Amino acid sequence: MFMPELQHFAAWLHATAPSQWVRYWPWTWPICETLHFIGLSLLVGIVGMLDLRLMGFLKQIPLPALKQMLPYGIAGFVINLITGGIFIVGAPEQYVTNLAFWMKMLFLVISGVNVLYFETTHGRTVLTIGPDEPMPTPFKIAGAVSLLSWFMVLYWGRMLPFLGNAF
Amino acid sequence: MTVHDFLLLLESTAFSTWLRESGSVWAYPTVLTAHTLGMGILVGSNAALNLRLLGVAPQIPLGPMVAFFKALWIGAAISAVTGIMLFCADATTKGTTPVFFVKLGFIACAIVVVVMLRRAVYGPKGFGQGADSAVVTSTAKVLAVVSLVSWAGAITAGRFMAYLTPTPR
Repeated sequence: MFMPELQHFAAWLHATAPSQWVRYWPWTWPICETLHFIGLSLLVGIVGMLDLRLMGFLKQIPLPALKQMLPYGIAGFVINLITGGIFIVGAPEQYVTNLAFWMKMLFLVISGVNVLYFETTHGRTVLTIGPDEPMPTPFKIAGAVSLLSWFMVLYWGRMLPFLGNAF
Repeated sequence: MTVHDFLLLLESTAFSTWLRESGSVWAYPTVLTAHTLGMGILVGSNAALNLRLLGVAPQIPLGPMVAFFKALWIGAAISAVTGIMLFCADATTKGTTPVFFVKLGFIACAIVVVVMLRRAVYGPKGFGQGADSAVVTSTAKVLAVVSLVSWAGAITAGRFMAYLTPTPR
């Protein structure tokens, strides 16, 4: 399904000037990968702590205080969005027909929908919950979905070279 | 027995051979993925601690934040176990690659700093007993910076291993 179209798109993107720029200097790739792993750590560490707090762990830490750290988790995500974009532009043929890539995108979407839904429905009330108060079940579910979906994003990302032809 | 003999021995066990050559998704790929997940938990929780000590999110109480060390050591345990497995699978290559020892050097430095940091913030007992009187001294801030730099160095060296050795990524 869509396979010829995707391959056609990848071939077109591969031939563009930006794609050639990414491939021009051989160290661009390892440097971007290093940044991708640093971004991953920031994201997993900081968003993961917030997820654990929502799930009912770390109850003595006030949520509004913990949330002050979120910009650094978002910074990690932005680093990965940029470096990930560079990977796709530089070698699109590695990704468009790779099952692991689409699984990664699926869990990225699940994570995004989860956080947008949670922020719009419970975003304000969650900050009124004090330390040591019990967490309502929907909050626990949102935290668990977020944590697991980020783990799955990481899992499928790391599987890219093994289930497909990515390096 | 020379070092090379020992590396060869590690590499030739049935487990190492399976890990390296079976082609199963549960062998090398899964162990490598677990290594990355462990890294994320270890470095991420460590970065969160360091950032707090450097003045980010100052309203997070230092006392209960001692729980971050649990996540940190869980991540460290996953990374260490899977890291030893990955080393055994390619012992003769990794054991003779300079960048691998650069990575180990950064990790050794980072682990020492974690232990020192905990003592600096939570007192000499270091197991949370001092949590109520936790303070951020200038020593702790310096250690937090050294910690962030060490982990960034370890990640960089680890990533570059894939490009400076002929082993799988």
